[in-house]
Amino acid sequence: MRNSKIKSVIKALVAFSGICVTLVCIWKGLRYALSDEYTFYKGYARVMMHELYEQESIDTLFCGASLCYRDFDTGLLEKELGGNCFNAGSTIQGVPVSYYLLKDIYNRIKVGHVYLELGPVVEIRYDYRTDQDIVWGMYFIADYMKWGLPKLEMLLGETSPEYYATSFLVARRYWQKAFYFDYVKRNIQAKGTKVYREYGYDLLRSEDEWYVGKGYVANGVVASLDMLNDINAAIEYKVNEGWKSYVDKIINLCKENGVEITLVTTPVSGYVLSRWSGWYDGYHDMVKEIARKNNVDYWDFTLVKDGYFKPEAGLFSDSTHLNMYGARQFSTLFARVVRGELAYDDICCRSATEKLNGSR
Amino acid sequence: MLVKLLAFIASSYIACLLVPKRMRWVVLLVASFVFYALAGIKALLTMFLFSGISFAFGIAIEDSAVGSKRRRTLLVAVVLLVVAWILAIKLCVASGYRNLIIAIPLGASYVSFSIISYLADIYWERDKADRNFLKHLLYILFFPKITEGPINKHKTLAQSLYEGQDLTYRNFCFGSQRMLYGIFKKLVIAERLSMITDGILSDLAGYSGCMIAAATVFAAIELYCDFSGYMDIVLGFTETLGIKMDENFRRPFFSRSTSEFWRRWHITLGTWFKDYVYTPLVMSGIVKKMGKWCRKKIGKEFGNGLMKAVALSAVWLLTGMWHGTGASYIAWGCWCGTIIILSTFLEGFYKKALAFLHINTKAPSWKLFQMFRTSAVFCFGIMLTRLPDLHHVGIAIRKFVREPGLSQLFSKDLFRFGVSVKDFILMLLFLLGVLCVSIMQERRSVREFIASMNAPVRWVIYAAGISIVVFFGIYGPGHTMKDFVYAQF
Repeated sequence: MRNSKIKSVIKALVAFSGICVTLVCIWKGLRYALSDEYTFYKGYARVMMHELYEQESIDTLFCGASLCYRDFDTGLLEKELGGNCFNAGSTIQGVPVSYYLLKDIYNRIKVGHVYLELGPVVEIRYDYRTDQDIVWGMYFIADYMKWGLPKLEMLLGETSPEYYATSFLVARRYWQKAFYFDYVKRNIQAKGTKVYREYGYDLLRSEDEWYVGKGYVANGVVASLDMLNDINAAIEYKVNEGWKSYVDKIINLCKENGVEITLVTTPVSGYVLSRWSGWYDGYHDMVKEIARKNNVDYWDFTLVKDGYFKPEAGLFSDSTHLNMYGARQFSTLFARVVRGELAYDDICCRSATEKLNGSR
Repeated sequence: MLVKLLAFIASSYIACLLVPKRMRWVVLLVASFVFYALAGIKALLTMFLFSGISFAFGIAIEDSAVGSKRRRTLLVAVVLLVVAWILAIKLCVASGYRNLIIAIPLGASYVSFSIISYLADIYWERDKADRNFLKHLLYILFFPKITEGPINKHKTLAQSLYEGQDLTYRNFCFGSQRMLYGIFKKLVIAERLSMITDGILSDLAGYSGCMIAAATVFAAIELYCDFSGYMDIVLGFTETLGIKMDENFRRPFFSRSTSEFWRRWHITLGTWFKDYVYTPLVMSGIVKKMGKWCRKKIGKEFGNGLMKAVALSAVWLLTGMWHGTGASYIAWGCWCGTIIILSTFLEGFYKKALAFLHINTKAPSWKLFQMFRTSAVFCFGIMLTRLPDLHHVGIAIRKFVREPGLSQLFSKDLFRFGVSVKDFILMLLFLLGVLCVSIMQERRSVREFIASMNAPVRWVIYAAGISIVVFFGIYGPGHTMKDFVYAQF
């Protein structure tokens, strides 16, 4: 009787393992066929995360959303600052994602200083757990994070249960593409190439942007006046308490791991700042208070004086993102501030009002 | 609701694994309590009260002398009480006065069936009364069956429920397979079809008669997949525990007559009405006297037919009213009852007509025709209940006659509801799969067939089944999953 029970248990375990292995094969195969990870937006995150995990130590690490990975030219910054610089920014990377990413990084890599980009475009608008854009933005990082507690906590804690299937099973997001055989064929062909397998950069090019390396994406577009004044600027400011708590958590995480942290925002076009003028000072003061409370620096380069960085059309690819020329100029300025050649208080205004009045 | 149900099922099974066999009924009782309590404490207390009434009256009836007036009075009193309670709930809900009812217990309809059948069986000495209130509570509140049935008789369910069964590997495998099949029918087929049927049947003005007819057929298939899918989940779960519950579906679309259809669709409801309404009615003194008088006046055949018709009319009126008190449901009950009664009366004439026309009733083509005809009758019934009211049914029928608009069926209008052309074709393929499984089930057990295969082949089948459900199921962000349809009754 006891023997037959033990046999049943072993039988069940073997069957369970067999089914699990088969499921893993099926889902990996589906992901391979259906996920367009070779295209620019998904592809650069894949390559960036692969490069990130290859680092043994990082002296200067940048974290944040698209303003981060477009505005900080890591190649130039390495030359200016020395040491190893890495840009772990990604599309629509909210502070919860930055938090769990840093948590995972600190378990594996030695980091010297983190610059957390906190531009208001992403930070303050969303209900993180249910907003589809934010959740999809999380996937850029989550799909390539190594398995561990930070990844599990993020996927389970930062999405509502209706997203669990798409969070854990990448292929599920593309189920409707299963019927498009040309699409599937292109995926399989692209993923079979040496460039893809070896995390090369050749596939990571769109019409206007290309992946340079170490997380930096260069954009060659020079924005027209219309582009500078586009709908992207029309944000409604609303304080998100959850966001504030995550910034506190990130700062505490850095302190616990002996990592220095500075909160930063990058320059935006003058047109955008004038559209934000009704609320931007409130946002600035809120972040400044968080920084003061936690005894860290806050460098708001949105308020940089024109004499040090004039936000002209030629430096932007759209209303908020710097193009490669703007990134070069800004990164040079940034490096001078880091090196102590320039004091933040000297080169930046204290408020948007002051900046806008100064520029008139 | 599906997620909640599956969570309960999983945690109940794990809890049952951890306790000895004789204590499993306690685990199931606690799970049922919690399941019910989540629907509301007031509802739970109401159900507690009615379970207490059922328990007390069961003992009182059993202890009364057989054939005594007291025994009969006790049964009639509690049946009237339960019927009044259900009627009050349905009328208040239908008329919008929900506030008048203290609590609308989850599964009130199914519980009332359980209580009436339990007490009636004790009255007729077909069953013994429970002497343990907690076990009786488990029979009433058992969470897998409470929202949509099946309606199990106490005498068939009690022993395996109370005494516990061995948790065998085979039961686990077979039960899990069945549950997966049920989830597949619900998530992959029923949810997909609901996107189309809701879109067309909520706005008849924009669609031709053929589109409405197609939507009605889809609604029938959707209802089948939703309801039978739930049954597969529930019966699969109880199978994992070694508890045998009555089947509720047996490939109803293979039926060749409406009578047969209702012996294959919602089987336990039909059995309940047959055992506790039809048979007692036919065997009652009044109906027997009427029958004798009819046979004398209009002949034996018509006389017997008329008595059956009276009993069937009562059954179908009640069945319609059980589904809902609106005119649509009563019309539906009348429709089903009329078809069955006419079939009964015209059976002789029908046989003569077939013989006269030299129709080979054993030919596959004839059997296929009968299945389509029976399904068409059922689909018309679906239209009666699926459209908002009888006025809309009139609109639909007029459209079918005056503006059939067959071409609209082949236009892109069918794919405006979130289901693309390729998705629709995929769904048809899955339906073909369900058809193949159903044909196989008429001949042999599909699960036994799978069990006869080698282990790696079985693993691939299970993994493929799970993957199809997870990959192609309609759920997640941007989609609100519909509750199981029969839970509303």
